[in-house]
Amino acid sequence: MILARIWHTVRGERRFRTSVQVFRRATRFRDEGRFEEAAALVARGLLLDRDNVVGHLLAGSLHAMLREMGKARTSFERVLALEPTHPRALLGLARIALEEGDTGACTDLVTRALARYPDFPEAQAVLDVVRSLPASAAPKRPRSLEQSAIRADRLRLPAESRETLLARADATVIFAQPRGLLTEEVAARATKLARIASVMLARAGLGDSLNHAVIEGAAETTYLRADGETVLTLSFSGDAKVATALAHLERVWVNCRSELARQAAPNRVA
Amino acid sequence: MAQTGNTVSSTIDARPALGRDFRSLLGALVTLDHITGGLIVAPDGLLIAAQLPGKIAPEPLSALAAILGRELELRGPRLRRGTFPMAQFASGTGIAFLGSTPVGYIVLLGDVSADRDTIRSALRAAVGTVHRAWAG
Repeated sequence: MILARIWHTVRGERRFRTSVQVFRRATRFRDEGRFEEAAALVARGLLLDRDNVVGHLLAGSLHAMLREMGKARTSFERVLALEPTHPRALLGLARIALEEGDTGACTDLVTRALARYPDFPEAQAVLDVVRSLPASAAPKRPRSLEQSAIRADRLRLPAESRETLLARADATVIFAQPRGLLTEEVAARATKLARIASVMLARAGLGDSLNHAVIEGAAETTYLRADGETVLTLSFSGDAKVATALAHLERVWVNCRSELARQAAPNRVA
Repeated sequence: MAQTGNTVSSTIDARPALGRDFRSLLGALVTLDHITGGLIVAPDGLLIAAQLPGKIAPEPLSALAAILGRELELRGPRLRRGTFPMAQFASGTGIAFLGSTPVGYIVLLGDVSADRDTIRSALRAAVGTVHRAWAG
């Protein structure tokens, strides 16, 4: 009986030591960008020690790096089942919630992480982003007054522009050409991007608001202009000259602001 | 001819090393004129490499860069899922460039005088180097 207990202890210590070594090595591989090798080691380590918090956390991190968000979520949830206030698992789940547009869940998760570890700069940064977003991720329906009031000819849209969108900071569509089923959702995305970029610029010491952005895509480039109240996007083919497209963007932006001011003026008089 | 073959072979062999040596890659990019710092961050926000001015905390910036990168990667401003090779975000006082690679995002920070064409070109080359290194 005593011998069996000693054997169990020795065997258990050896197994634990081995899994620690495996996860330590996997962490080094992950930090060096050797994600596939790290993932293979983590899988091996979890076979040795299936309830290892570090192992499940590493697995979650590696799945997220490999853009396997469903698997990442499962791993982070396993960590929280073992250690309910683990800050890295809470942050991992918060980031997934933010990606999915669930700002309520994201806020709850980062708040829990910060309650446990108030000095957690990454969690604070995520909270800054989620607080900058509108309370509801649901796209806003356009107001009929705004839809009828802005005319394309007044904005002098460039012929080369494939799509134009003007939205309020809360993602309410003011003007869109062409307009389709996804327009409101596009407006929500564009305003969300502008807010995330503003928070990042502030953290980078580059002022606290986005002025403009150029986003290259596979087939076209999107030019975005923003202030605290409004977001404008124009899209051009990928071979359009950046300087020319930016000049178009600025001109349309000025025209948009002028149209919005014109709309607001009669309301103020009344 | 054989010499040419050796040269080509050496070049091909060297590419993965460069594309996987993130510190060297970033080190070269931050020497560009008017670039004040940069970082390489994994899609989950893990900081892989950073060269930033002392007043800027790398961890929150890496978390935000990853959120922005993923948002662009997943949907982009036009809801078209797919690649976004590069993006730039300008404020009144500076500019941030973001390049997308298989291992994550390269971020460069610059002042308002930064030559955007030069930086875009250098960042595009760096992104290509990482892509080639990770393709095999």
